Amino acid sequence: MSQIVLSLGFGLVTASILALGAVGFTLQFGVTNLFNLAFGETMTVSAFVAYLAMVSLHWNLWWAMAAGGAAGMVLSLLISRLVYLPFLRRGTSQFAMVMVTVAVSFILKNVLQIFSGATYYSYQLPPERPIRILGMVFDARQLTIIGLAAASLLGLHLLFKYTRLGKAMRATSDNGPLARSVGIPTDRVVSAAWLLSGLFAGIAGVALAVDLGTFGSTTGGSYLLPIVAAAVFGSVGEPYGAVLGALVIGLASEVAANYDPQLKDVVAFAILVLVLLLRPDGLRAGRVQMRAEVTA
Amino acid sequence: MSAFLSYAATLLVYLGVNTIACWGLNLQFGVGGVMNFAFILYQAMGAYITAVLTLPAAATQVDERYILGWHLPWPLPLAGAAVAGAALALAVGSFALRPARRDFQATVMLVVSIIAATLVTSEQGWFNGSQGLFGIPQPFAASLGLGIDGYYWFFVAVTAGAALVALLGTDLITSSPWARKLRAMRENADAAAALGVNVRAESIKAYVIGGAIAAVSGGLLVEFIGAWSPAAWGTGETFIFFVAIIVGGLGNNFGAFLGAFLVLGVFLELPTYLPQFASANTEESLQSAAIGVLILAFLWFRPQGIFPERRRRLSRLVPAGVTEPVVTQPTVVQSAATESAALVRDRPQEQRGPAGAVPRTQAPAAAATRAPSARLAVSELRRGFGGVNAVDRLSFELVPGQATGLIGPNGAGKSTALKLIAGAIAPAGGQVLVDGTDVTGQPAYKMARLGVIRTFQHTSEFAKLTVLENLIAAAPEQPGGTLGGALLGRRHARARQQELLGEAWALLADFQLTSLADTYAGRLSGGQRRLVEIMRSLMARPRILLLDEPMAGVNPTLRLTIEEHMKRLRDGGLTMLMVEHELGSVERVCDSVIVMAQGKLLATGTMAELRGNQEVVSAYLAG
Amino acid sequence: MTLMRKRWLAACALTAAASITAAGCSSSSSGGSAGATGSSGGTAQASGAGGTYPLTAGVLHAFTGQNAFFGLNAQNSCKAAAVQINAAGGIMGHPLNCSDYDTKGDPADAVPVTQRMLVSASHLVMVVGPDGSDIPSVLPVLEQAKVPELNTVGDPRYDTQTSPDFWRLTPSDSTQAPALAYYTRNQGYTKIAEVFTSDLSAQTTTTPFQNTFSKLGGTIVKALTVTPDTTSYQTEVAAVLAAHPQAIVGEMDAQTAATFLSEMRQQHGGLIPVIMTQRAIQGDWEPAVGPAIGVPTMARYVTAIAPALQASGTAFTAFSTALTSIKANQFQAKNPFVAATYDGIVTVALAMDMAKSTDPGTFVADIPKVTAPASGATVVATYAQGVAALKAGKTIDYVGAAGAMVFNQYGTANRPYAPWTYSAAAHNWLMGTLLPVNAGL
Repeated sequence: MSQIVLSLGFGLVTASILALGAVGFTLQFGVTNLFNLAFGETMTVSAFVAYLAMVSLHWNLWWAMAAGGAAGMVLSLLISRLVYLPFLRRGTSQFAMVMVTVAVSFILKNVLQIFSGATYYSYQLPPERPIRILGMVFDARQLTIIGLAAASLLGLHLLFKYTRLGKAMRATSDNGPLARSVGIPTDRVVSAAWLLSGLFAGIAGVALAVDLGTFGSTTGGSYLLPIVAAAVFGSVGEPYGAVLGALVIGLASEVAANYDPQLKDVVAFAILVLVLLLRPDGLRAGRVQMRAEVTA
Repeated sequence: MSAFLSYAATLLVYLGVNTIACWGLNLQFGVGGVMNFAFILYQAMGAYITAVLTLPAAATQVDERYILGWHLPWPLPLAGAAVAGAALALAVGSFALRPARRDFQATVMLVVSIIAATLVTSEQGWFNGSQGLFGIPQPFAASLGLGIDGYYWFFVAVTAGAALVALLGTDLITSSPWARKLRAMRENADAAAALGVNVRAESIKAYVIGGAIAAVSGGLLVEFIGAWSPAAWGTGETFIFFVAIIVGGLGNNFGAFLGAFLVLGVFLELPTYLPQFASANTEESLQSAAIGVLILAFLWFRPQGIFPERRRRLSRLVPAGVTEPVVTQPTVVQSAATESAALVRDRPQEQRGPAGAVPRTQAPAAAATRAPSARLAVSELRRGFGGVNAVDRLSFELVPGQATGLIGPNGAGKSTALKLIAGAIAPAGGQVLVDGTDVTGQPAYKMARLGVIRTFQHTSEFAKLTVLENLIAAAPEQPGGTLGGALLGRRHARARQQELLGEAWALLADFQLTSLADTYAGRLSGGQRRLVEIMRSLMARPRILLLDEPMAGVNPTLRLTIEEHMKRLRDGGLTMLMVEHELGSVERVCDSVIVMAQGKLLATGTMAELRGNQEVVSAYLAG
Repeated sequence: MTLMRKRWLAACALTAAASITAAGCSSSSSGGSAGATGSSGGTAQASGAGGTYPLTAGVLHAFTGQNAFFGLNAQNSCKAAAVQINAAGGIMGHPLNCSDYDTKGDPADAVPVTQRMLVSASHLVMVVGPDGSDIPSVLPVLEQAKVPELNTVGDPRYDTQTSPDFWRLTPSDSTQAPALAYYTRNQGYTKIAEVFTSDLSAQTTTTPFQNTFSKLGGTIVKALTVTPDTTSYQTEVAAVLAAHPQAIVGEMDAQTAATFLSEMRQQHGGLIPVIMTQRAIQGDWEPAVGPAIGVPTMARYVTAIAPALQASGTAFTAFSTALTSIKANQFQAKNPFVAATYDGIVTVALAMDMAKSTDPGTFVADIPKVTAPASGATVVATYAQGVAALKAGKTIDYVGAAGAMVFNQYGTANRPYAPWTYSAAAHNWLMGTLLPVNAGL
């Protein structure tokens, strides 16, 4: 039993990182209606930027994470403006856009590889004392990451509920053309969505690199499976559902590892399949009608 | 010298294998629009199954484990591979093809591909884990006694033979009426569903066949190289196949072959001849990044690929004698009304069947088989979005054989009501009754098969299909229109296809658009596309026609033409419900009108009555 | 039938017909194929005389992907050996060149690459590689061409292989697992946790290891197979720690080890002794794990059981010098796989000198003789020494940088293992005391 409680604690850390990633992914999808498969590479780039900040500028981890977040924002916005938007304006179909995002992920990953070589990098963080809470074990960094994730999600919630931008994002997410027709500046809302999603990707990327201990040019890309599995929980486009998904997947995979470590990835996948079989457009699909056209 | 020949033979075998694989992917994606991001998994499955069916039972003394090991004679392992590929596709498709969005489907398949690699590696009992299978004997290698070089060429012959079979099969399929359905689905899944295509089922079929073909290609490859392991199928390889068919040309077999040759052959082999200028890692990364750039370049400059899908000019096949003498264009611009009247006058013997314009030869039969006008009723129909009731306890009953207008201010829920009736959206409550039968919640394609046909607010033509194809695709009951029917060949489908061609041509003549018969529908002007959509809905043999703002964006002259056709349909006894903002059109065409506001039914009556209704007027002013 | 379809059918039918004809023609002359098609294009002549054209050693490996470090090892081995060989006058006057061919670690891609090598490499006399994932598909092709290949794969299924062209320079994994168990038990550990990643040699190592370790009186308190490259192993680490093992024994790739060990360090407040297989001394492991857990920690706790090499003496000096002259990472000087491959190439060169022929069909039989200990044989430590001794008419026994490399009847050179530990000062792995031969068996 104590092992299971322990794994719940570990699952919380995993879920926090996953929540950051899944929310970033689904938020941008909700507003722009574009499945961005280059999201993972954005995470990786941010992890590298943080690394440079720590190694060259000797910043501490948290400032470096901020730098990574900033890098994610810039990269996201750049890609959306320089690549996605022109293709969309040209009338590229929804599923051809996926190929475009795949192409971008190829390019990003391999350019990274050219500059970073095929080796692994590490933030080389010193070990910290274990902190025991309710039978779970954390270190200070992990608690900070959990706190950061919670704070970011709370911030997002406040953004949606109380700010004009947040409400505009929700409106655009629900029905882009209608939003535009009532005067919401959807262009700016879309840019805001890319920036936010890039920020989340950046923080998630750095947090992931911290959690793994070491990272390389393929690290973010291989994180796609759990992100999609978590995002699908909330009818892709629905951030709150993604948080739920992250919790379920993070906790379930760590608990499953108690029985068989090889079940970890399989659990995330099995959950994805189950959700798809039961509710093809996500668990909370009733809320949002899938839109045909892409705004971004 | 013979080392060179072996090399050449190897390249040919690989070309053959890759081409077969590309044909499978082309069927799935190029024709059917299914983005199979798990493609490499199917090739791998075929390789694995072929291997374990060819090999004898696992030799446990070297700690080698795998399933089956039945030591079957050739070509049974390849057949087994095809079955396995199909079965896997069925299993994966059962959940991966459930979401409506193609990109979502693609991502799920990608995830499947990743997890499969993990599973195959960790479940060592399946296919010997990361070590993989080896020592797979080449077919007939021992018995033929051809010698090393001779055997290479024998295998090239085998591959060519397999390619031939694959070509004949895929050609048969991709030129069938069923493939036309797939293409329609590819162009606009919603419109296809609204015309009776069960998109999910047809997607799964295309997926399954493509999966079987990919599996066979894998089987051939493993029989050639004799070994297979997870290292042979990385997730990235799927994208290389996609690049190949995008570059070569989507939707046609020659394009797929060209892609296999150029991308999988030339682009990947040629750089190895260049002198090395950087570390191997850098060079490989450059090559992969170049693939990304290649995708972008083609999607931007030439999305149809080097060798685009051929346009199918069906007008040549229209049976002689069906082509009606087209009404000569009046030299003086007459008013639209007399023009329509002229149309009417020139066809004195025309039978006014519910389908409007019907070829002379068919009119009596069509009229005879036509059921009496259908009745449509909705009761307490309800649907909300995000806390707002788009449709709020809506109840009405259409007079059969009449045209009813559905009007109201913006946001009244009119389009939503149509979509609820047609099955495009599921209602949250209430009932839809057709001829007294409860059909609530039936999906769009089933409603279409019952004769409830809906047109779309935004034009929804099948852009990369010609106008004739758009029309024929909509017609029900085509023997070649199912997978089974397609496999039975052209002859099986010919009679009906000829019939339909005749019908479609007559319809085109009626609308004076025969000159556009072989033009891609996407190239037409807005008004022309609207007409195509209407004609298409007529080809679907509607019993209840739901029109969603048919006059939107249409110029006044065309409007009158459409109105004329609507009137004739109405006179022919077709039950129609027309959402429209153009009140003039509504008044001219519709016998009665329903007014909605804020999701609720506000009033019914004739236009004259409603004009006097204060509530209606204020709803319009307010809304 | 449309014109296009006719053309298609014609093309396919033509190809099929041409192939069948070619098959038939080839088979009728197949009698001569065995000899004439033996080597690559531009086949080497039976006698060594007649020109000083360069000979090629093809380095057929993955230079990209996760096994790229194997390729890098092989590349450097070949270059270093070529330096030594050419400095001593080459092979009967022919210089030796190394040519690289990237298999990308994909057994399907490897086949055309191998074919291309056979076509384009002039006077190909030996192939260095490929590695474990590619050998199954490449070996048949090389056998058809009758070119000897030198490899360091661990897969035990080759323990009883019979191809005359297969030469395994390092011990099979079937001896690694017992050696691992032997060392672990010898260090006094009776309760250990076994951790392997599900790919790599986990398949072939776990069971023999368990058997040997139990036989030696040890207990495995926890046995885990982990999936590589997942984002966290916290639960697995906790499970291992909860069983209170004295040490962890196993094999993990670089990324997995880095994550696993750093999480263990965090949960436990430090590491416990870790005994890894030879995977740990490969070039990509230390750069990933060191920074993740701290180099001093790695140096203190991690031991790798890998084949031994002769860390001093003439042979090793020659090897080191050669590596320096090709500007290789000094890390590799201490890598027993690099040393073994270097020795292998030198051995094949000496075999050619011994047989006085550069035709693989002829000299392949002499390869085992070069390193076979025979009474009255002169022990030589470098290529130059070997050539001199052969010229003087002596029988030689080449014992190179990797130590004695005696091939058994199946073409494998079984050699002793040794524990390797990382030295922060030397920036390299250092070898400890050799384990006895066939330790644990």
